[in-house]
Amino acid sequence: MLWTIVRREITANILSFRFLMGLLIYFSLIVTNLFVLTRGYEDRLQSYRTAIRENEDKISQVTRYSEFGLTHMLKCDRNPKLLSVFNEGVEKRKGNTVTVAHGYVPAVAEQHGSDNPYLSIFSSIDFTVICQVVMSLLALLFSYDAISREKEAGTLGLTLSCAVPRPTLLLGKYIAGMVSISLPLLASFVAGLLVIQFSPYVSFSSSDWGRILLIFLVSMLYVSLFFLIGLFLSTRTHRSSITLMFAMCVWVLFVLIVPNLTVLLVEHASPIQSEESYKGQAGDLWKQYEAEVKDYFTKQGVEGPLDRANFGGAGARSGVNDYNSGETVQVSRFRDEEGVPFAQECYGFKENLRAQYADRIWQIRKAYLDKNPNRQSLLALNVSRISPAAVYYNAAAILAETDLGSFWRFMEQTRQYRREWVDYLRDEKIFSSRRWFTTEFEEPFDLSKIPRFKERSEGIGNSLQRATLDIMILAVLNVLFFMGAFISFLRYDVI
Amino acid sequence: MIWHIAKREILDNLTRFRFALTLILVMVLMVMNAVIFVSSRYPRRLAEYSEDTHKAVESLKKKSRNLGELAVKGPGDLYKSVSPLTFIATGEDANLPKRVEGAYSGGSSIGMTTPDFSFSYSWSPNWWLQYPQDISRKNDSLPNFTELDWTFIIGLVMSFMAILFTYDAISGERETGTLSLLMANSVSRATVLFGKFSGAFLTILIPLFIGVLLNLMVVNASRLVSFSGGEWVRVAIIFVTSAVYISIFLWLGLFISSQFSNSSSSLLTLLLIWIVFVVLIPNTMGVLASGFKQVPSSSEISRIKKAKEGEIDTRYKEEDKLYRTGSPSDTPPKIEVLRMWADYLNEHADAKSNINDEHLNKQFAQVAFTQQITRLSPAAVYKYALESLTGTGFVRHKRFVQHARRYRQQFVNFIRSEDGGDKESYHVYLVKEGLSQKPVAFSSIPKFSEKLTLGITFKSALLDLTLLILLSLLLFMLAVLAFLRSDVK
Repeated sequence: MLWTIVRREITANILSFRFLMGLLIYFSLIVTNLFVLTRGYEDRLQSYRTAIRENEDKISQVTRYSEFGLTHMLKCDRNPKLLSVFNEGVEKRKGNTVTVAHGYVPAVAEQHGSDNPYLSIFSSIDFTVICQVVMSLLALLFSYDAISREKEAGTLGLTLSCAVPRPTLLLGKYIAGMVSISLPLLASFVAGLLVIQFSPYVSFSSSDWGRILLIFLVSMLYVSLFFLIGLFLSTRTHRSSITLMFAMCVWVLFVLIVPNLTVLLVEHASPIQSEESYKGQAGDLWKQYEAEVKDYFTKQGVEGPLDRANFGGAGARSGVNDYNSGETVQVSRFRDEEGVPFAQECYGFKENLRAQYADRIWQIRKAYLDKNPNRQSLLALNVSRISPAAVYYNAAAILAETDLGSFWRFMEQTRQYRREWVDYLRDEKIFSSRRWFTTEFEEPFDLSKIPRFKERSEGIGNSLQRATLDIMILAVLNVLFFMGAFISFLRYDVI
Repeated sequence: MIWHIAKREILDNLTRFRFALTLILVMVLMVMNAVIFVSSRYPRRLAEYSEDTHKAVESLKKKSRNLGELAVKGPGDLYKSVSPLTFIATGEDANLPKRVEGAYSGGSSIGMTTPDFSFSYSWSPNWWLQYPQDISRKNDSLPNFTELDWTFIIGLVMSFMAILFTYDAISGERETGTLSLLMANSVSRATVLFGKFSGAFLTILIPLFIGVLLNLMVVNASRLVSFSGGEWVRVAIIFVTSAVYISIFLWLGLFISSQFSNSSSSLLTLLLIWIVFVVLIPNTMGVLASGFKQVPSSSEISRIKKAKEGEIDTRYKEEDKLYRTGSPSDTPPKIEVLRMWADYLNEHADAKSNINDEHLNKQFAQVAFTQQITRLSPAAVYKYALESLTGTGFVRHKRFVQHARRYRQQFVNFIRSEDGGDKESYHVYLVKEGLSQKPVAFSSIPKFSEKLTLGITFKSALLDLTLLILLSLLLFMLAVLAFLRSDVK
């Protein structure tokens, strides 16, 4: 019996005008959009590769280790995520290149490869947003009249007068609706994947396939939720035009208004402090650092590390940046060797101390970030979960590795890389090596052993775990609305 | 007769659920918009602006102690003022830079000794206009959201409601069979259509009017903003524009409605049209357009700059020409040395300035092109019209940059004329030692200001206003034609 109902409903749905319109519009949107976004991905990939190459070039130009502290800082570049064509998340908003030095712990990322920052005034949408907006509307349009229209036409009473139990009818309508609506969704995924595959830069790994499958399933869950909302509303009303009005209001409210409103409200209800407070504290610490260095030199009876070194020629040149977090020293020639070991010892002390201070400053900065922008972002994320559309977007972003959490993970990896780099500098005693400040009398300079940054991508299981909360919310809402529709249909007045 | 039909429609609409919904939604959103604006957004922006300009004035005062130094270091940061009407259209101002920089802080020095001559000089390069990308938005991790301004409330929500008001105006009557009954009387089709339109239009104007009124009341009650006469005129124009914009969707609704015999099909079609033109086109075209008009990347620009500077340097430093004859800091300096150094420094500053300006012009051209494409969407046209009228958004930013460039010339002229008055000066523009070393009266320095008259704002909005009116007329004609030819059953 169930099968008969399902078949009848599917036929009716597929032959309907709304199906044709929906399919047409949805399809053309997805294909053009993915085409454009794939181009964007290619551009980002290009600029990522250029950045990596430039970084290696820069490393090979280094002649003294101290240059790594200021003029030739090491860079960590973030690999553009392939699945960003499905969900852009924060991919384009947060930066993708991070500078690392022993005197500087990275906290923010810069953007490379942005040709026109003014274009950021145009909002852009991706696959997930189209699905979020269009598919939810289609789902409502498929289900709003499932019950109330049949009642209007009088066929509901006729159907139920046969030996069809109400649960079977409802289940049949749900299954049929979901099958007919998943057809455009599936078709759009397939078409999208074809468009992406045309790009010569793209090759999917098995984990990418897994992620795409998961995104598809989450999309189904989201579409199903709106279908059930429509069904539920349909069982609560007796005229299809009323159901439609209600359905449209729910849609406008939860898909268009609430996600925007929550962010806006959070930004205003819980503002963040300016960076000045943290910067002041950091400045104080650097002053303390300077004082400590000065103390050390006074004890040694000198003004600076090179005081006892007898350098000649063009002399010594050094530059310090604003925050003391980097310094380059260049001595082109020594007259005699006597003072050199002393200079080495001084730099060994000074630079080690600088790395320690950088760590302390990072602690302050971390506290600021955790209490201000990061807290605000998390709050906005949590509050926006009132809307299933936001829940869906977030789940898809996590699965596409474009959410804020993935970005934070990347930042954490860059800090880990910095620790590695500092450990390397200490283990190899580079701070107190001659090569720190001069190129004189030294064997060939080997930079191949310098640790390189390598981004480790998150395992699919890990992503799924992080997305669990959002997926659970969607699932629970699905169950709730199904139960709601079920109970309310059992008590529905059919005539 | 029209009035008769309109009255019936109005009475019918007023009792409907959709009317109550529109009224409540618009009222709540409008009040929220006003409260957010007066309680935090506007005061914060104002405070930031006044703090910034205060700092800029202080640093200008410091520089005015020496004309030569002022000429080299430039006027400092120029800030974009905050429009008191930002609550109507925020214009993504948080994502646009808040200043241009008319200064350069940096120094160079050269010292050399050769058997022939010895030379030493330290200087700061001449200023040029720079366009830093610092925006006033604090937290870039927050999702990009649409601001809750009038362009959202009216452009998106009200346009949706306009569709809900008219989708069944004709198809619904067809369904119930009342349309043929109506036409059996001696009323012309045009009269029916106009009656339906006026009914829906007047009903939907009620929530719009109440919403706008509440919004302006809250804003005015805060005493934070006191509107001048010009601003009231602007608000009035904006209100009329909004009404025209809404009429577009009403006519669209009537047009589609007259094509269908059942109301759910007409609603579905309208929804899809609405989604494509109001939600999707303004949001997808930005990415699409950037592919068509390429802009050189920032690394390319810095390469060009470096090459140009290298070229200038080699020309002047050929055989140590620049150093051989003496230094500008000699006392007294030789006039030909001053001239050569002035040429050298000017060429550097001009080269950088030209490259910067050209790059920015290209970026702006790309944005303008993208805006042109998004004008396919009436919602985008409406948004741009409101932005022009309120003095926010990209058009305003572009004008701000133009003002800054004009001010650059004004500043240079001031320096030259001031220098002309000093008899001890060598009148060589622009090397610090070549100009007067006297202090400048701070009050006489021209200050940067933008004049936004009603005429200018109206002129920049004219294109969009015309587009809206034309579109409304077009849909009106379509609706009339379609209804005249349609079947009543």
